[in-house]
Formats: sequence, C-alpha cells, structure tokens
Amino acid sequence: MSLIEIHGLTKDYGRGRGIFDIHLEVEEGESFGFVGTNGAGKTTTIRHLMGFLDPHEGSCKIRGLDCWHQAAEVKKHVGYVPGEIAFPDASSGFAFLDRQATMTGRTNRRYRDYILDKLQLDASANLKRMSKGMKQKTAIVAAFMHDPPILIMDEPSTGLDPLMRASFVDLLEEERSRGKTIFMSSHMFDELETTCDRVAMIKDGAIVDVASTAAIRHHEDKTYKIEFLAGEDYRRFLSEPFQVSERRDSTNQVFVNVHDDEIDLLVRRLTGYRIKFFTEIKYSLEQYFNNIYKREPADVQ
Amino acid sequence: MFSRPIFWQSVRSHYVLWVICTVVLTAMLSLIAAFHDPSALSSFMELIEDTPMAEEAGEQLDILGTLLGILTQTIFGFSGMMIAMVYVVVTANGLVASEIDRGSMAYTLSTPIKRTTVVFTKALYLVVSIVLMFVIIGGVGALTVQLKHHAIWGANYTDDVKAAAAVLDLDEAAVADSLFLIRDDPDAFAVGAAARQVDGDVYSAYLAQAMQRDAYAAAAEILSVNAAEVRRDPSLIQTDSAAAAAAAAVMGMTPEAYTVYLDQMISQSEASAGQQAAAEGALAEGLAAAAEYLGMTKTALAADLGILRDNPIAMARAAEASGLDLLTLNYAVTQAMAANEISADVQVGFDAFDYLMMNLGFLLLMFAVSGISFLASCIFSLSKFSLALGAGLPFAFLILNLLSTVNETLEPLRYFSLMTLFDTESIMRGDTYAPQFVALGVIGMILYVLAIRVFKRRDLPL
Repeated sequence: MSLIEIHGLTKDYGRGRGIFDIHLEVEEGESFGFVGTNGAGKTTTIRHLMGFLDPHEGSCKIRGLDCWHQAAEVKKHVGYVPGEIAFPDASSGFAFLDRQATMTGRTNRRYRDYILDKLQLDASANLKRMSKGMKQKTAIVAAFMHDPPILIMDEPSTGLDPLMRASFVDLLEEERSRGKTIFMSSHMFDELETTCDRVAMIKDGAIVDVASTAAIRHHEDKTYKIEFLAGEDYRRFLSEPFQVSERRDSTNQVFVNVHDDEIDLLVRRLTGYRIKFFTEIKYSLEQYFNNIYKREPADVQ
Repeated sequence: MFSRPIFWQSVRSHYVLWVICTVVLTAMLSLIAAFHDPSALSSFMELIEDTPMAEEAGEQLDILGTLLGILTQTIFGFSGMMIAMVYVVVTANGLVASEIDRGSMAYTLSTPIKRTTVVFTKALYLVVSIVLMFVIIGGVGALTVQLKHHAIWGANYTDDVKAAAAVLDLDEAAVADSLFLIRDDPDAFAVGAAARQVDGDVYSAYLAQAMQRDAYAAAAEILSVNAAEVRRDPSLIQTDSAAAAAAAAVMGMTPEAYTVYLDQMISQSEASAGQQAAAEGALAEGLAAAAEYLGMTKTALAADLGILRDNPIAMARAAEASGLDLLTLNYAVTQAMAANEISADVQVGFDAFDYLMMNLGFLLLMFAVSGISFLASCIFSLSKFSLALGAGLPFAFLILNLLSTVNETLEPLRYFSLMTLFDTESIMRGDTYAPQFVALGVIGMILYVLAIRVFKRRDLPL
C-alpha cells in the first residue's frame, strides 16, 4: 500500500476547468514533485489531499485514511504549506507559530528553532510587516516545526531569493534523508529535478506523465553539439552514420543524438575533423516534458 | 466540539469592535436613564390634558413617555439595533468567510482539529460575545436606573414622608403606603407640610390627591390595567372587590366606606363634568390676567402658583377675569398647587421585569440576526458575498421595520421584517410576546445548525 494514493480523482468545475481522473501513488519516504502551468490543477489536487475539497469522483488516501472523510485524522501526519500566504491575526511570527503549535497539539521547540536558524528567519517580526519571502519562510516553519512524517507543499519556494531557495532545498534534502515523504508542487522544473525522486506533470487537469528524475539524470541517449572549423569538414561529417537532430549550415554546427554505447565511435570518428567545440547538451526534466508535449498533443486534452 | 485556542483566537481578532459597540450601547442606555426627568413628561401631560389630543396621545404617552418607553425608541429601537448589528454582522463575516477569503483558514484546518470543532467554536464565540454584550448593557443600565431613580428596588421617599415617619416613629414605607396617617396626625402633618415647603391647605389637598393616585395605582395593579385607565374610569374598581379593598386600604377606609365614597365621587364628577371644564377654562383666563399683572409669563406663573395666591391684587385680577368668586378661585389655585406637587413627585416609572424582557428580546433578536450572518459567512468563500447576504438581509429587515412605522400604507411591510418579532410595545402593554421570543430563539438555532452543517460539508478554496 502506498502512502499517498490518488485514485480516479475528478473535480469538474465546468468549462473544462478542474482535474480529471488523476491517478498517483507516492511511496513512503519518496519525494514527489508536481509540475504544471498556472491553472493546470496542481492546487486543486493538493486541496483534495488536505481534505478541503470533496471529490466529484474518485478518492485520495493518505496512510489508508480518506482525505475527505477522515480529514482531521489525516492531518495528524501532515505538514502543509498553502499556496497563498495569508496568516491569521497574530502579533508576531512567534505568536503565530505558538498558535499553530497549540492547535497541532505537538511542540518541538528545539526542532522549530533549528529550522528557524536554517532559514535565517527572525520570527519576532510583526507578521503584517514581513516581506513576502519572510512570510513564506514563516509558513514553511509552521509546516515543518512539529516534525510531521508527510509534507505537502503548494509552491513552497515562491518568494524566496535564490540563496534562500538553496537553503530550502538543503532543508528538503535533510527531511528526505530522515525518511519524510514529500509532495510538492512547483512551476519550476529545475527545482523539482534536484529535490524529487519522481515528478508528475499536469496539464489542463490531467496527468501528462510521471518521470523519474534519476532516469532523466542517467538518460542514455545524449545530445552533443559540435561546431566545425571549416565548412568542408562540416559537410563531410553529415555523411557519417550518426543521427543528426539539427544542422546549422551558417555556423557549421550539428546536433547529434548518440546512445552511450556509441560514444566511443563518435569520438574516434571526430579525430579526423578540425573541431571548434564539442559539448554535451544536458538532458533535463523540462526537455523531457517538452518532448512529451510535442509528441502527444492529443493526449493532453 | 470545542477548541480553546480557536476560541481565544476569535476573541483576540474581534474584541476591539465588541468593546466599542458594548461601550457605546452601555453609555447610551446609562446616559438616557441618568438624565431622564419624569416630571418633564408629567408637565407635558398636564399641558395637553384638556386638549382633544389627550385622549389619543394619553395612552400612547403613558407607554412611550416612561423611561422604558424612551428606551424602546433608542436602545431597543432603531439606533440600538443598528449599533448591535454592526458588531454582529462584521464579526460573523470575520469569523469564517473573511478567513476563507484571505486564506488564513488554511492554517487552522491544516491542524488535526475537526471542521465541526472549528465552526462550532466560532459560532459559540459569536453567541457568547452577544450574550455578554447584553448582560453588560442590561446590567449597567439597570444599575444606573437604580442609582439615579431607585426604581428597581427600595424606594425614594419624599421629604415629607421621611419627616412624618420620624415624627410618627414608623417605617417610611408604611407611611408612604398610608398617607392618611400623616393627615390624621397634627404633628406629622405639620412637619410634612414644612418638609414640602407648602402651607396646610395645599398640603391637605396634596395628601388627598396623592392618596387617590395611590389608590388608583393599587387598584390598577390588581385589575392588571394601566393606572391611567382607572383614573379615566374609576368605576372599574367596583368591578373587583379585591381592587376595591386595595384602594380602600390606601385611603384608610373600610372597603364598604370606600365603595360608598367612590359612588359619590363618580356621580359627582358625572354631574359636574361640564362645570369642571368651564371652571378650568375660567381658571386659565384668570391665570392669564394675573400673569399679565405680575409681569410674568403664564407658564412661569402656573409653575409657581404660590406667588398668585399670596398676592391679593393678583388674586382680585384673576377673579375678575375668570368670573369666579375669590373663595372658589382660592380653592382652584390650591388644588392646582397640590397637583403641581403631585407631578413633582412623579417617580420614574420603571418595570424591572419589562426591562429584563426587553433585554432578553433584544438579545434573542440579535441571536437570530447573527444566525443569518453566520450562515452567510459559512456559505460563501468571498467576504463580499457573505456580507451582501449576512449584512444586507438584516439591515433590509431593519429598514423595512422602520418604513412600516411611517404610515398605514407601509404598515404591512412589518410582516417581512424579523424585527417585528421583537415587539417592545407588546412587552410594555403586557400583550403576548413569549411566542415571538420563542420563534426568534428557534430561528437562530436553526440558522446556526444549518451554518455548522454547511461549513462541515462545503468545499474550501484554501
């Protein structure tokens, strides 16, 4: 049994809006990313997990508990960073965190202080005067401080500057190593690529594909970009038995797709040419999903 | 079902408006009660007594002119409802809809606290805060009435009763209830007149009028009618032996003797009804002439008739103008002076039970109104929609209620207003109001139960 099970989840808001027949399973200790453009249905899915929305069809379960019918029970295991930052009335960040701690019923001050320190947040500031980044950090602390086994986050890194984002990614790494299960959404591929084990892409309310980041990192088909010093070399190379995905006659550049097994052959052949540069185009999650987009536009609907 | 942190969070978020509205309403009520002058009204009543208005306005004024009546026009009326509703409507919206709208509800609901607990606690806060508001307003109001007018418990005895009681070596209450004790004891009579700063004639007339007033009041209480009704038609007393006995006791007579006395009085006043009106008209003319002679306004002289009585020339002028002989004029003036004393005596009429019922009714009305606002707050995710219904409807009711009092064509509008169920006039008249109160309570309960159920099952965009 998976830790998080989303089964045929459908919420139809009419006029094509909503989410439709979503199936996802997240294992214990897994870090799961959820990517998609604005309005694709990321937040709607997460709201179902938090028991805020009643599914039209299907269900979602966390640890076997139904997210709608047993919402209060589910939340004993979950820390949540909402997509929108609007705090309840509280005089300071600490007052807010204390309120959350009382309502959660669990306090781990030492751990809270550790996270505060990690995110370099001064929670004694007035909540209303906090910058967007500070507010986001406060929301993260509120979700993490009681050390829940499952973290559900809706675009948790918005508002964080690049340095802070790095510390946040660090923090996520730590949580992962401590066996936490993470379910987070983002509209940034690179962020999910580094922090998640698997990433699902959602478009127009439907899952396009689920990709393993490890597989993408260790993708065996690679693309190399080669520029030749002379046009004659360039033209001669085109007759070689390699799959050229793109050619640029004006700059004498070619893009070749080579499987890892053929890399030796490529290098040997290239010794006979005068080369200006030779570089590997890194295969990314973004490229992966872009490829799927291009390939199956019909499926996406 | 109850969450202490959520309750305190609600208190922290909403106490400012609560304090403001409570203070404003309490201050309003206390100031009205403290500065209420019962003799001003009785002077006005005298002013219109002989005009055709009296019959029509009299009954109305008996009710509306009292302190409680004035309160129904203010605190328990439009302005009081307005202020209380501002708190109710704003707070109900702030407790749920605005938290959903802003998204801060997400932090509450991401904890293992059940939705039912969240919404129940918030509803409880709203109800408790409204109850507390009315306990404070009602309590401080009652305290003011008591401190200023001694109208709830204990009695504020007049100076002559206090002085006479000392001479008679009796309890002040006993003397106040049996003024004939003063009349029948020369020493007590003398100190009483001195304490009142009037001469024996006026004091004697005063005691007679006061006893009649008290007798009618005692009978009216037993007959459960307004004292004014008994005054207009004393024969009512004869319909009930207990009422007659009570009135007789005040007069210091046996019930039999009192019945005879009453018969005489009724037949006399029937016979002399026209005569009396003529005499009063004559007195008014005499007064005008004397006032002119004395270089005073008629009103000023009417308020201090002693000046007239002690001035033989003025009396002569008055007699001449009125066509009354001096003796009759003197009698009439003495009676009028005694009547002035009576009106100065007027105690603040204040029925503590009616007052309690007013507060209870107002509370129940606000409970029902808060039910509307709270339900609206639980239905909508956007503050603007929640307020449109949760504030719009109650204020529409208030406006309809106000319009229905404008004229008879608009009167049926009251049947579309919730405020109609809180009928202050029925409370003061002693008409039925319990079913309306129950209805308000039931409406409120249903709305709250609905609100809790709606919130439990709805989708939340958090």
